[in-house]
Formats: sequence, structure tokens, C-alpha cells
Amino acid sequence: MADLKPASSQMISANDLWTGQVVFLTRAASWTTDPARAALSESAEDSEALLGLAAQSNARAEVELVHLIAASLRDDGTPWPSRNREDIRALGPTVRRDLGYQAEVRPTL
Amino acid sequence: MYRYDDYDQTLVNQRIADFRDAVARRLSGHLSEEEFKLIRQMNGVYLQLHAYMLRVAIPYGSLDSRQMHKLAHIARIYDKGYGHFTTRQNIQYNWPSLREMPDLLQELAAVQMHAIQTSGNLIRNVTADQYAGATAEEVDDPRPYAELIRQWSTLHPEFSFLPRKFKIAVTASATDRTAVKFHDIGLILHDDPEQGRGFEVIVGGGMGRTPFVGPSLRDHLPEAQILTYLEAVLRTYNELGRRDNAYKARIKILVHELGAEAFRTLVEDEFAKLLPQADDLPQAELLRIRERFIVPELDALPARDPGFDAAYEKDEDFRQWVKVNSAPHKVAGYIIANISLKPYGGIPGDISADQMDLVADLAERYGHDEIRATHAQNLVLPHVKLRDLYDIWQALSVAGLGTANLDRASDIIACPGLDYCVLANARSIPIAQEISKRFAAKGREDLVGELKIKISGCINACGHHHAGHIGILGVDRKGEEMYQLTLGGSGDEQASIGQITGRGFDEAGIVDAVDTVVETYLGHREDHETFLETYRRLGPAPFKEALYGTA
Amino acid sequence: MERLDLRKLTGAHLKPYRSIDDEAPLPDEGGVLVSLARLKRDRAALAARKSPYGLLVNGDEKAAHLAPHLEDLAVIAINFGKFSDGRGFSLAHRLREDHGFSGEIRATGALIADHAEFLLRSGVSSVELADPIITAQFIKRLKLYSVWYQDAHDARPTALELRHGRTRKRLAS
Ligand code: SF4
Repeated sequence: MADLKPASSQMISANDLWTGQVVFLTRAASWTTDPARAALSESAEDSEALLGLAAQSNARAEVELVHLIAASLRDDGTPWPSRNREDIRALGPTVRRDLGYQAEVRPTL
Repeated sequence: MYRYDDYDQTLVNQRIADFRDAVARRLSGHLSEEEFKLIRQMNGVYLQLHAYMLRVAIPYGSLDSRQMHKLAHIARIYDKGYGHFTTRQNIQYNWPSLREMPDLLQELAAVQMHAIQTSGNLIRNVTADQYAGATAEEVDDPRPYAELIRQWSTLHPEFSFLPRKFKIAVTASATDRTAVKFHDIGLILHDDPEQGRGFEVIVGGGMGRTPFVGPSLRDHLPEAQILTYLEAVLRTYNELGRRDNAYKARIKILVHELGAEAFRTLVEDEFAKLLPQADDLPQAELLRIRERFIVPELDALPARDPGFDAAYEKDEDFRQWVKVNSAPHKVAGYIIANISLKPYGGIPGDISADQMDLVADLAERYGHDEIRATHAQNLVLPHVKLRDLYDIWQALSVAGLGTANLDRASDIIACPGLDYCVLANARSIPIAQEISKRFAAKGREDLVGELKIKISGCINACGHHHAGHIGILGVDRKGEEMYQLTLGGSGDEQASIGQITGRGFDEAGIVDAVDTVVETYLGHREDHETFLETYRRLGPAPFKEALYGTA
Repeated sequence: MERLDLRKLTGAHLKPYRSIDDEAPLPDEGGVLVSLARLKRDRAALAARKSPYGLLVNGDEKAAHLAPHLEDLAVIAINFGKFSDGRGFSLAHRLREDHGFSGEIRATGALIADHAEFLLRSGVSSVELADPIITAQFIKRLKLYSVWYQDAHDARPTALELRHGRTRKRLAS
């Protein structure tokens, strides 16, 4: 996994330190398991600023593995990760979609 | 089964207390993410794509029913009801939380299990032949040696921060079921008519980005000197192994860069220095360990059993399973039964909590309480009576564990890949599932015979693709999952590394490509040649032509 | 900087040593640590001072290079550059085992409490730590374990010795 450089149309993702769950950074500087509620950056500077918030959270020992991911707006206007890998992180293992906690979070997907 | 004494138990308990403390230090910010990563890995805890993953050690693949029931319990309480057997005879859980991890480890400790050194840059869990103690082929049971090494390598003061991970395998049979030549150190036990009992020592084998069949460093190492020799190898590696590039840090690179001869000289010099002051305690310890192994008391039975013969005659499916999934036992009237964790279209190595409980029950009732995990991600009941085999098979079949496909095309080794693994480039499991389904048509697989297909989701090669008769490597091509095909690898006593056929395939294409390769084999094979034999006779040309046409 | 004797679990009795750059003048007073190059160059000047001196080396230094100087040294400080780099453990082991160094071996640098037992058992006698919290963690950890499988450089009996009622050769010698 090559680290992305800050750019527009990105999200910040990480894993919750306590549970390990995949989380995404919101505009309110909180973390959500639902990427549709995550902040989608508008510019490289915006991504940079969001990364800064995430780094503070990491320093407070709340999350691990903070990283930028590419994302875009879906038809319904909510953001979603665009790369395969991040799609899998958001939805759970492709071979056991029934089992991940993601299934509980987003049962309709 | 080795039974812990108080020292073994105390150490495991103290290690858990230590880990609990490390978790607290991370939460309070006294350990950085990077520092904590190192510590959690030493305790078997990874952070994967979706969650933490715990890899539980099953030393040399041996466990009893109590332990298997506990693994089922953990799957239910701390995970999502299943576990995954790995290519190193371990089991991993995909969903535990860090919060519960110390308690989970405490539960394991209650049945003499742990997750110590199942990850990290140190000496990993020692593996051994899954037929140990049951096969007539072996010189002796290799597991007491493996246990001696397990203890020696556990929290080793000098060798816990190595350049990279370090894997040791021990076997004592002519037929190698451990991929012994693909390990950092591979030990082959033998009885030499003149020199007595000892090991052939292979050093510097491995998979990964640069696969090597390890060279033999010693034809004969007296058994009493094993720990001293390991110390010499490990010290040489700790001091000289590369630390500038993780991909060049394994001992195989050091051995390769120095040359096996020069490396041997370094090791032998160090060994010669250590030997005069070496203790004979390990020898006494080996005796003690042997005594603490529960050796099953097998009954004297006739070589044939009428009930078995009748079932074999009458039930075709049973007959097929016995032919494919069993192996001869050293004692008359007994048999080794392999339990496939590769149902057609299933996830290789995955097992539900209920299935674990069933295997545990069968082992307790029929199998002298012994279960083995194999590096091919299957299970074994090593000591069952012929007369019980039909009952066992029926129970397994009902639970989806009765697939007759050991070492067949659908007995695919696959790493977790991009469905779980943070390092992955591509998914492995769906490819395995599709290939397995394709071969599921009965008769076809039987026609093909022995065929080992191995799939890795990245160049780390946890799925042993280099050693697959047919190997598949997932790569990332601009965000697309692509798959490279290799042919002619083998992880047995005649180890070889598979050769890449040519350009890669996409998800659908790779399944067709495997099909094409197998059809080509069937078209060219002579008499009863296996795939590997045909490939070795013909080389890659006809396969390449079938895959890519004549260019 | 905190100092801790890994056996006594206190640092009160340990001498401070100042690390002196190769080109900086030697202070008149107080213990100093110098590089191997400086030691070779200024041996007489170091010996003429009344205070003890020692070497500061990185974990990847070869023990054999230090061997000719061991008699003069009060202390050898091994710097751990990265917490994941385990070469310092082998260096400490060699200084004790191959070269019979009986003076103080002090570990410095990127140390975490998880190193504590390993340092002690590889032959390190003391550590220099960044803050009291880490020192407390070291002490806690050193009190935690009571079972060791391997033959090592501390006097506490191993599980093997206890099981067999014996002492090992290496220590006896
Ligand atoms: S081979 Fe790669 S993808 Fe597969 S488990 Fe190993 S590291 Fe993960």
C-alpha cells in the first residue's frame, strides 16, 4: 500500500485502537465507521488539515494506522472510497460479507 | 502432547501480565504506535484491514480436544464464530478487539496455549511433521526436539530483535510434509549408522520476494549439539543480517550474499567456540520433555477389520475418502485420517466453532485425544482405529468436513489476501473458491490426481505459491487485481521453485488459465505421471503455448 | 537522564558519565565516555585523568575491535539506535562471554521497558533512560518474570537448572 500524497477528494481512515474497527474522520474531527458520513477533502490543504486532526487523535492513543484514501461522491451525494482495497475495508471481507461488523453497521449493503 | 510444568505455565501467565501492561502503556500514550506494534506482534497480535487479528501458536501443530474446544469457545465469544488455520500450523482469529485481548490470552493459557512469537522479527512458532508419532516412516517423533527448541527460543534474551522473522521446521521422515527446505532453518532427523542420531541442517531457505531452496549447512549434527548450533547460526544472523531493507533482511539473503560456504565458516567458527563450554543439560532436558509427552497407548489390533472392510466395500463415497484422505499408521489396525478444511467452493483453512467442537469430540472419543494442524491448512486425527473410521467419516461428512480431496486440485492453500490482510495486493480466497468449484465435478479431480495449487495475495508468499505445482501470485496493477501464474514448484523433499509462465491474468482469466494448464497436463501425461512429473519431463513450453499461443 | 542498575533496581550508586565528542576537549573532572577512535588517539590523556572513563559504541560495533582496550575501561556504553535493532544484545553477550569483560555495560538510546529482561540477561548491567516513568516501567517489568529458559548472563537459575537441580557450566566457569 503506497501512501498517498494529500490531494483533493480524499478521506482519512484509520483503525480504532481499542476495537481495531475501520473508521473514517468526520468534519467534526470525530471518527465514524460509515464512510458516507466522512469528510471528503476539497483540496490538498484540506486533506493536510484533516490529517493533522487525525494525527492528534493518534497521539491521544485513539486510533492506529492513520492514512489518506482516495474517495468520490456517489449518486446519492455521499462520499465513498474509490479504491478496491478501501472498499473492502469499508464493507468487510468480500467472501464473508455476512460476518464483519460492517454488516451490522450497514446491513443493506 | 507435551504437558506444561509449573515453569512453562508461570512463564505464559507472566507474559500475559506483561502484555496487559503494554496495552495499558499504549493507551496512556507511553508507548508510541510504532513501539506498541512491535510488542503486540511479539504477542501474536496484528492489526489487519478490518480489525485486530490474533494468531495463536499451535506448537508443531499438536493439540488435544480440550484445547480444540477452547479454540471453539474463543471463536464464539471473542470472534465471529470461526477461525482460520494458517500455513504454519497456527490458527488465527480475524475479529477480536484489543480491549479483550489479554482476557482471551488468559483463556488460552488455561489450556496451555499462547500466542507468543507468532509474529514479529524473532524465532516463530516451530513447526513439525503432522504425522509425527504416527507414521512408520519416521526415525523418531520429532516433536520433543521441536519442544526443546520452542522453549529455548521463547523470550530469548539475545534473539528477540532479529533483522526479520525466523522460522524453524523439524521433520524426521523421508517424505517431507513440512516444506523443510523453505525454512530459515530446517532440521531433518536421522540415525546415521556410524555417527549416531543427528540432524541434517538446512539454512537459508525461504519464499517471499526472493525464494530459495535452502542449502545444507551440515550433513550431520549430533543431536546433543542442536541448541549450541542454533545459537551459532542465530548470533551470526543477528549480527550480520541486513537491517537496511526489510525485503533483504531474511537469513536467506545473508546466506546468498555471503555464499553458503562463507556463511558456514562463520557459523562453524562460532560453534567451535561455543562447543567446549556447551552444557549437556539439553540432553537431560530432552529426556524430561519426552517423559512429559503423552504418548497414546495404542491397542494390539488385527491388521484388518471386518466392519471397515464391509463399509469400504459398500459405500463408494467412504471408499473414495479413505483412498484420498488417509495414510498408513505405524501400528496395525490404526490409520491416520486427514480432515479437509477445503470443502468445494469453501474458504481454505476456515473452520466454524461447531466444527472445531466436533473435531475435538471425535479426537476424544476415537482418536486418543490427539489432533494435528497441517501447513496445508487441514487437520489430522493421527491415531484412529480402522474399525472406527466409518463412524468418524460419517460424523465429519454431516458437518461438512468429509471432503475427499487431500493433495488434490481443490486442496488449495490460500493466504487470507486482500479480504483480510493489510499487506495484500489482491484477493486469494475467491480465486481458490472458483478453482475449487471448477474442479468439484466428480471424477475430474480424481482423474488429475495429486496437484498442489497455492495462492498468495502478495509477494510475501504466505500462501507458498513458489512451492505450488501451480502457484498463483496476486499483484496490483494500477488498482486492479491481477494474478501471475507459476508452474513446477514443490515443497517436498525434492523442493523446487515454480517458474513464472508469462504475463498475468485477471480474476476470471486466472481460473481459466489453471484449467488450461491442467488440460495440457492431461493431454501430455504418460502412464500414471503426476502433474509435477509431467511438468518436469516436458518443461514449461507446452504449457506456455497452451496459455499464450505460439508467439 | 535516569540511571538504573538492572539487578539492584536502583540507580543511586551509578556514576554519571558525560559523552565527549571526538573534537571536544576532555573535562578536568568527572567520568567520560568517548568513541573508540578517541580512545585510541587520547589514551594517555584519558589515563592521566583521575576520573574513570569508558567507551560509547553503537550496537553494531564488533566486540573484537574493543577487545584490546577492555582492561582500562570502567564502562562500555552500548547505544541502541532503534528499539527494534537487536545487535546490541549480541555485542553485550560477546563482551561478557568471548572477552570476559566484567565491568559495567550500560545500554543507552532507544530503549523501552520491553527490552529490560533481555538486556539484563544478555549481559547489560545498567541502562540510561529518558524519564522516571520509563524507569518505573523497567522496574515493574524486571520484577514481573521469574522463569527463564535460556542460559544467560545473570545469576538467577533457569527453568532447566531448577528442573534438573543443576547449575550450568557457563556460569560456574
Ligand atoms: S502473502 Fe501477502 S497477502 Fe497473503 S497473507 Fe501473506 S502478507 Fe498477506
